[in-house]
Amino acid sequence: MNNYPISFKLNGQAVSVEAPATINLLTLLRDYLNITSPKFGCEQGNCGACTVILDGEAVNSCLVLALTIEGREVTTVEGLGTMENPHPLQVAFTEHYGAQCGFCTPGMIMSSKALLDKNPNPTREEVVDGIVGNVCRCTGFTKIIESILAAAESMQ
Amino acid sequence: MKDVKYFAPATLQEALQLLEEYGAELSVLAGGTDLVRDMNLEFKVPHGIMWIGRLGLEYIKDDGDLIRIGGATRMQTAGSSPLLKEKATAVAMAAGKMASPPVRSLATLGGNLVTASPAADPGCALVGLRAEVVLTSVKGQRVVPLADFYTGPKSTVIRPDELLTEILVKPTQEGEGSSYMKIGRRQALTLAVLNATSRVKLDSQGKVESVSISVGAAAPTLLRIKSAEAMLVGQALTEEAIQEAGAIAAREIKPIDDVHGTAWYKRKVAPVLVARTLREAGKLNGGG
Repeated sequence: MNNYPISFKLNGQAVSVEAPATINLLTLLRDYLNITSPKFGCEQGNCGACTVILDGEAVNSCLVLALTIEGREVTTVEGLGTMENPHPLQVAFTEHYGAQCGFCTPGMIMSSKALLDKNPNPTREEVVDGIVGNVCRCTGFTKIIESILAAAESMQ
Repeated sequence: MKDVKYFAPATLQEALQLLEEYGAELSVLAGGTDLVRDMNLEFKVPHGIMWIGRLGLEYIKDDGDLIRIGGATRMQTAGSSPLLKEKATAVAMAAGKMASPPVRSLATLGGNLVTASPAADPGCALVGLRAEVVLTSVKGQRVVPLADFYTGPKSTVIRPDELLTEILVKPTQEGEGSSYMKIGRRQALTLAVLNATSRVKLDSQGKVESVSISVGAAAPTLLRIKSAEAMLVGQALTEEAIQEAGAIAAREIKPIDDVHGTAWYKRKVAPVLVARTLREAGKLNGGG
């Protein structure tokens, strides 16, 4: 099977990799680049566990054909903060118990980041709309919404 | 595993040449929310893929007579467009609420139409707005009314050498409005149990000058309810007339039982939903 070259910006760094035409961005990140924060959930765009930011917008990475990211910019949780210097969303999710099992958390964080980048002071309803594509099967939505609102406040 | 070719043409001309050369062997990739999903689930392994994200087909403009929407315009772009919100309200409503934000930043209007789901939300809105689609090949262009574009579930009149390049919508005028509504099993991330769109123009006496009504998820294709439209034209848009139009819609649809809802239920909600869209479209005067 033929591989095609892909060059793009991943968490601020230029990356070059070769991959077949049929794989999606989620597989490229997890299996080719060892970026494992986006999770493999439904592979249909229903669960949001694989959400990353592509050119400033939240997308389901499982629905993006890997080759189409040539020359574009991808951000994952790995590019957000470090243990020493976490992003305000990461701090808020920790402080407000926004994570239970943690499987949906990276997707939740990336959807929230895309939301706050566009709308730094969202209402509760706007937060709900922003994460409507991310399913938490622990059903801890209340804590997640509180975490995002707290992050927005701390970033003001 | 077979070798899958990939093309990302930089110009429309190049894309049309590729379609001319490879025809049905080439799957057109717009947003990927259907094609890549089908590939993930191994429903489909294409021979070749042509991505149309670099052709400059994402735009919404008003040329005076018509709103021209590029075939690769994404849902979030359509849903937040002030022009569509004002002069083609139904499609902004449908696109802006479809699925979820991460899907809306990928999925395109042209892709939604070509995929031809009988339950498509933006498709229902565009049929109800009497949109037309521009199909382009190296041989030229043809313009097809969207209601005639569909031939069955997942089936349209588009030829393998053609690309859906543009969607044309006549903007709503003074005294004219449009509305789209959907019943789903929940608020978001769900296919329609039933959806409906109305476009209504009232004259200065409050009588219906022109009207179109579409219903989705209720037949093998998105439907125009032309008999209800014909009944309404020339009448005042009274509650009685609205109820009658809904009753006609309930008779015209051909629903089946599926996982989203039973045929019985769809016949019960069709008149309700059609009536709601007629009321809202009829009230939004002043080009809403």
